[in-house]
Amino acid sequence: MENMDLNFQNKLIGIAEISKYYTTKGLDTPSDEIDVELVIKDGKHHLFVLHYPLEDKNTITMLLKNSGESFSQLVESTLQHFYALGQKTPLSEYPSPEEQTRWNEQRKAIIAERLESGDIKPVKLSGSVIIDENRDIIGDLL
Amino acid sequence: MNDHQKQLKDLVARVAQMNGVKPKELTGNISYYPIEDTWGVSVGLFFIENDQYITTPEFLVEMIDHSLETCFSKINGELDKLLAATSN
Repeated sequence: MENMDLNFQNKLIGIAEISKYYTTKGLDTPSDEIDVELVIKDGKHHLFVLHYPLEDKNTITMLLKNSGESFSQLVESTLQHFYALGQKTPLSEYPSPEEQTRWNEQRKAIIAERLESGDIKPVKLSGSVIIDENRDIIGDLL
Repeated sequence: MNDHQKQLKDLVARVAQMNGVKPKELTGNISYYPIEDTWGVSVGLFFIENDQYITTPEFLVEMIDHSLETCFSKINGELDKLLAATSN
């Protein structure tokens, strides 16, 4: 069980690491702009990969939404999705400027396709957000 | 079933019971933040509406730690303490 859990977590980390290259900024996207969310709502399981640009926290973009029967299945299929994108746009560990340019062109073409198909889209903002960092969240329960 | 999935479902059920609502009214969430390699576990009022992601719910419980297992452990520990305090 421990190895399975470790594997599950490593796969989530892998999703975050690969998905950051498929924002509009590509190689210039810092890790802290990506968030991978596993969500259970009303018995349904979802996985979201979100991009929070540092310059404008209100323009959050969903890089991927995946829904399915279980977290394991969602994590696996999402990782395969990003692996497939990576295979379409191979990049060496230390890319030359020419390779980076070529990679960026391929990557932008994929992003354009994904924007058009609705795979990538802005996240809806709620008007009822309550943010209070000083709040004792646990203490509010009862 | 993945162990973390079960842990999250159990946590949602527990928080729902403590708040007198049905589990389906709440949203359980596991997040991975690559910066500083941290994990978050939370139960909130919403995150998904008509299958669309909505930003920033009001969390009922939330824990962030470098270990996902520790997130669950701490959050359940806090709920244990809360229940013990209110039953005395």
